[in-house]
Amino acid sequence: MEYYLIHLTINGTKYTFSVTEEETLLDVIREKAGLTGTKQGCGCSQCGACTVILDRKPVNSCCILAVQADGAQIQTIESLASSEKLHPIQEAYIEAGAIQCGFCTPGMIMSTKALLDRNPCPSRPEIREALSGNLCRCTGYTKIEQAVQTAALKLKEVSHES
Amino acid sequence: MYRRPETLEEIMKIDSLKKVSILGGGTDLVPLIKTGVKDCGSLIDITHIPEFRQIRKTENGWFIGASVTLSSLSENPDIGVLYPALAKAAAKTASPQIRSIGTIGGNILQDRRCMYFNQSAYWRSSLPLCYKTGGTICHQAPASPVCRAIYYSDTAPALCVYHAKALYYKGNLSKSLPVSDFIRQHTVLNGTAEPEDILLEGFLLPFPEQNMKSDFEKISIRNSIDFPVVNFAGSFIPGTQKACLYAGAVAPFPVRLEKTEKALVSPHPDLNSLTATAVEEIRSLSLLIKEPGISPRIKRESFQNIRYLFQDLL
Repeated sequence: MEYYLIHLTINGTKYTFSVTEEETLLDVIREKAGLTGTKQGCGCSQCGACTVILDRKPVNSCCILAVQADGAQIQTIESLASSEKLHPIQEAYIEAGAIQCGFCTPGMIMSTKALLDRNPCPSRPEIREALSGNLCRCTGYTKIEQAVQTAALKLKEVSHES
Repeated sequence: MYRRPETLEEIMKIDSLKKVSILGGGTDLVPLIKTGVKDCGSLIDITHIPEFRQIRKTENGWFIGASVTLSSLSENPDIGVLYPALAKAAAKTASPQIRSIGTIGGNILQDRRCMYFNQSAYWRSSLPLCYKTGGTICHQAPASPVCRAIYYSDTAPALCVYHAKALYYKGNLSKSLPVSDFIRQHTVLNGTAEPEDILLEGFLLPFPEQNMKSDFEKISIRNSIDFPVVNFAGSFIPGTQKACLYAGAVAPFPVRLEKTEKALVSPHPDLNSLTATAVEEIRSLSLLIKEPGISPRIKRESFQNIRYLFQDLL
């Protein structure tokens, strides 16, 4: 088994990891960087629980080999809240009651972030399309959709204030 | 072993492509590696070769590199205007997460799927090896002399209706084939355990002819991330004898609907009779197998959704 040195910038911090060709980006994020907010669900790109943002695009970290991501900028759920305050998207999910067991939530929120970063005022079909790779087995999707709409408004207010 | 060449020359130095696995986005290959269907012994990541990542206009049409991601393809304004069926097919493939890194080359060279093949090594160990894993039986159709796994690509029928050419390397030789033949060659080999020894560079799409209409429709169990139950692509130039229709996800390769094409170019095509002709033709060409979540009977009934394609084309 060969080992490879890879360089990743995760949530603004630069890391160097020694990985095998079999390790996934999710393995590295959870086990080597210790960022366990990103979840492993199906492990085969079907549920979206492991969604992170890689070079500004949402991806399933469970099916990207860590070596493929060498040199990439990664954002995980841990990048959103500051020590004092939740991110407006996280607040919106709580306010809308869009969380039950919470296992899919980090992936949902990262898909939401990727959407709102490129489209601050998405329509309902655009929200559904952006979250179509994230499965929730508890709540259904109505409240999640409402949470994304609320998050868009909150982010708009934040950008006006600043 | 993993290598990430940054030039074509570096790949050309590899002795035999049969000994390596070409890695695009990995959205098809990595799950197969994780389930032990494929070995990641020697992976060559081709996504950092600049020529393979381009969408560009050439003298003979538009070139789309094999490593262009499905999201880049679906969002490209030129492709959206000139080849709307392809842009729509790319946008309808899988989920946003998969389209972010999944490539057009990987989507065309994807493994055919079957409920006896896409399982863990442990699950498969209770059965004899099938054709796709080096054995001598198809568990779907034990009397069949070949593998019957289905080819589910959404972009394949769309590339076929534009008469695209696949540009690839075999050994050190640069070659090209009509994409329908290229897919046929791939899908036949993919029904065996024999590795491919080609390097796909990309696709060349001829400039669309004046007044050409084209579209793509996908029917799937869920509207969100899912493989197609059936997909349809068509191109048509009203007032001419030029039409091309393909259906996908109904056989080990996309099937061309030649009888229906003739009906489409007839003087006054009628939506109902066109749909009936197409349904009959797809039924006669399809090679259905057991699939999770849908029976062959329901799948056959879904063929009538080709009506939506005709509504767009007429």
